[in-house]
Amino acid sequence: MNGLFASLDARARLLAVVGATAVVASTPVGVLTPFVLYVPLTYLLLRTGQASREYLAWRCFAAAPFLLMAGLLLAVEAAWPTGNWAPGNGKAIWEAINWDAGLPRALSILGKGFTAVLLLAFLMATTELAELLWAMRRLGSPRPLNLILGMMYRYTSLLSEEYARMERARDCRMVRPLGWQGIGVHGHHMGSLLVRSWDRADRVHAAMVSRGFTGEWPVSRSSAFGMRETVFVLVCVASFLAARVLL
Amino acid sequence: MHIADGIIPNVWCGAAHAASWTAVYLLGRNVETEEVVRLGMLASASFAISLVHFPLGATSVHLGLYGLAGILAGRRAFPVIFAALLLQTLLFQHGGLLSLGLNAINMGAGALLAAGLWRAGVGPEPARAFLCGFVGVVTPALLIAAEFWLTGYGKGFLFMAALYLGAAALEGALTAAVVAFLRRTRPELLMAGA
Repeated sequence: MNGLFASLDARARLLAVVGATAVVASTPVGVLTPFVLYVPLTYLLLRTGQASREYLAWRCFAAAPFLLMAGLLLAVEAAWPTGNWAPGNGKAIWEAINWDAGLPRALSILGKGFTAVLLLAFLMATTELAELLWAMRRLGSPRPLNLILGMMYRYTSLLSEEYARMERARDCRMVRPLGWQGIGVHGHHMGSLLVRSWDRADRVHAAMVSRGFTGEWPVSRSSAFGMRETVFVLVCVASFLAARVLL
Repeated sequence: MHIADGIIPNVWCGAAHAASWTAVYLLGRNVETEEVVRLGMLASASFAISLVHFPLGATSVHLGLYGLAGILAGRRAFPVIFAALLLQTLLFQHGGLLSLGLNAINMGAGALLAAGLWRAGVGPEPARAFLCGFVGVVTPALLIAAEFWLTGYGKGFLFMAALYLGAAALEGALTAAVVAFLRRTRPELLMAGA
């Protein structure tokens, strides 16, 4: 991973993204003018790192259904008091919605939501999870939380594959596909995976201890939060804040 | 259902962050490394299972397993769910970093309620397990609907919460089946969260 953003301490990257997201999210609902600066500022921030455009677009696409639903709900709610629609009065609900009242609110929610998704996806595209865990730990995150996160990152894909293998083996032995009656079978499979995970946990813990595990994930990369990081975080958050306050 | 950033006002998100981080500290303190590894593995297994989709009518649902997490991890279910949500936020952008606290409270409340119901020990075990799975889904759905209503989105999400009743019944049935399996094979797992 190259670029200015990726070369910064992981804490600075995390703080810059969280700070910028918080400023954008604090924009009042229905206010669109700050987005005149939010959009170029977000673009500039994304230019400081080398994140795949396809990845960023895909993450926005994945978040779209929830954001669209929230925007629509807000638009309808804003339009409702002036609407004269009631079930059975012969008028379609679509015609009763006062878009002049609802559209800016929906657009501002969509703008805030997609900006937040873009910034977070950019952070993850330019930062390894191990670095992020280390940064969170240094910023005061509890030790058990970091350990659970590290375990999950390591073992979720492995256990997913194991569960898929169990399902394939079950399907091979079935004479007909499972329907609703198969809930018991599904439950037994899940229980089986839980038992296997439990047993694996004891073996993993013994192996970790034998390798000198002291309760913290080791991070090979050393970095420091210096002047460069401080300036970057301040400039990043201050730029978004200026757009939020001035426009 | 994970609330994304920018949807709920920052004041709510900030307050929820403060509450959920406090809960993570309090409910995760004095935990031994061995137990953390078990919790991590349990969270991984639950996460892996939750990726499986089940057909429900014209659509499909995936499991949350908050009730089962409450049964197996007890009060430690909250840090486990917080970690799982954080990982989902980071890897898949489901939810957001600002709304993480709110999502954790919504889902964690379901798990803690299930843990309380399980530990109360009232009623036959299969019915209790079903109820734990059921409330593990219904509680977050109702909390999300309430949050949306209180922050100006209207009552539209109450309809969504009603749709979750089917998913909650499915999850309740699966939780009862898992508990029945564990009771027969490894009953000590059902005592781990106590």
